[in-house]
Amino acid sequence: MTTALTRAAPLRRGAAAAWLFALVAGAAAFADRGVAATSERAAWRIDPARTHIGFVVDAVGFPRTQGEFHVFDGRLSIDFDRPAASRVTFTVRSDSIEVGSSSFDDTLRGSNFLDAQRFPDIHFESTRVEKRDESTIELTGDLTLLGVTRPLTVEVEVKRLGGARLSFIAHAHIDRLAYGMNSGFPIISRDVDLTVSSEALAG
Amino acid sequence: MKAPPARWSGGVIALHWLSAAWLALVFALGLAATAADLDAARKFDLYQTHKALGWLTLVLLAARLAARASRAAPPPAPNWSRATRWASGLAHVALYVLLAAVPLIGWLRVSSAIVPIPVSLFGLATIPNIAPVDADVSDVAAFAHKFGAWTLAALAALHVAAALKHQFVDRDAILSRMRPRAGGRTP
Repeated sequence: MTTALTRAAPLRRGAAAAWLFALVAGAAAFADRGVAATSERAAWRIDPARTHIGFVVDAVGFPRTQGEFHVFDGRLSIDFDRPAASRVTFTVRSDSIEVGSSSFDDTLRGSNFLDAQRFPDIHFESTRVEKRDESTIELTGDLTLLGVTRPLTVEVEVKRLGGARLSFIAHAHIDRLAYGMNSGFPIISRDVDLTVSSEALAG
Repeated sequence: MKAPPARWSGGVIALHWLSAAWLALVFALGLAATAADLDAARKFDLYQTHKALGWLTLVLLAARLAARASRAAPPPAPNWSRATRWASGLAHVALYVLLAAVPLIGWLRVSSAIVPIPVSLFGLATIPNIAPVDADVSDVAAFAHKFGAWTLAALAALHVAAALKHQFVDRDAILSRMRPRAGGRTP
């Protein structure tokens, strides 16, 4: 989407999942080096052109709403020897939501939903990383939405694309009621399905 | 004493036909918003457009009533039976009542909806909500709005059928009172 790229280009984009996989892949590659954690933290870079943050919300008597957030910033600091020492922070600008209708976007940015004026950022910070199998990671962290912080578990599938490039797809279910976003419930589902697909580059 | 006019005033005639076209559009938008198989964004936009144009029918109605009150009305058709006059009068009262009630109930539905998105006149003005959020009120209003809209559509169809019957079967001049004048002559 040209507009999305144009808007996002000047900003650094991140993907919720990208650092995750960096963690795992890195751990596998460098596990035996035994170097002090602080000296081995490495940064990975999100490829903004290949990163999409999408969400889906169901409703009764209204079609499923699908949209994207176009402005985000992720910082990955990865310790390949000790994944648990790695950190990931990820911030999404709440007013960058787009569902394909400007008046619908405005409604979602408004006080009934994201309240973007009062809460301009949606923030995620990792607390724990766990490898499930060869291609899946479970990431636990704190999500702050509407000023409310709650734990969130993110399931991440990781794939090596060759070279220093990794592909990630992360899925999470957000219970919006837990963050005080009650508008429209129960007509509008409490569950928000979040999918982040991204590619990250080493260095 | 001045003789009553043979036709409705220019303002009444213009507003009548503008309202007819406007209401047909609002009804079509309402149908499309509720019934059409569309994605969420298109559906949302249809609802907002329906709400804006629908709210403006209240302005049109106020203008029509003002135009009607400001000039003398043509007299009742002399050759109509009592029953015809009574039926016509009743139908017109019902039309006016529905022309006011359907958009007002729609406004109530919007206002009391669990996500009360106010009517926006295409970003130029936002119309305040007129009721607190109440899912039960909103559900009843939604039903009444839909029922009223279909009743209004049926009455409008009856209104058209009656006008055509008077024009082509009875061959009285009733329709000419509401016909726009061609050629720029002011009625």
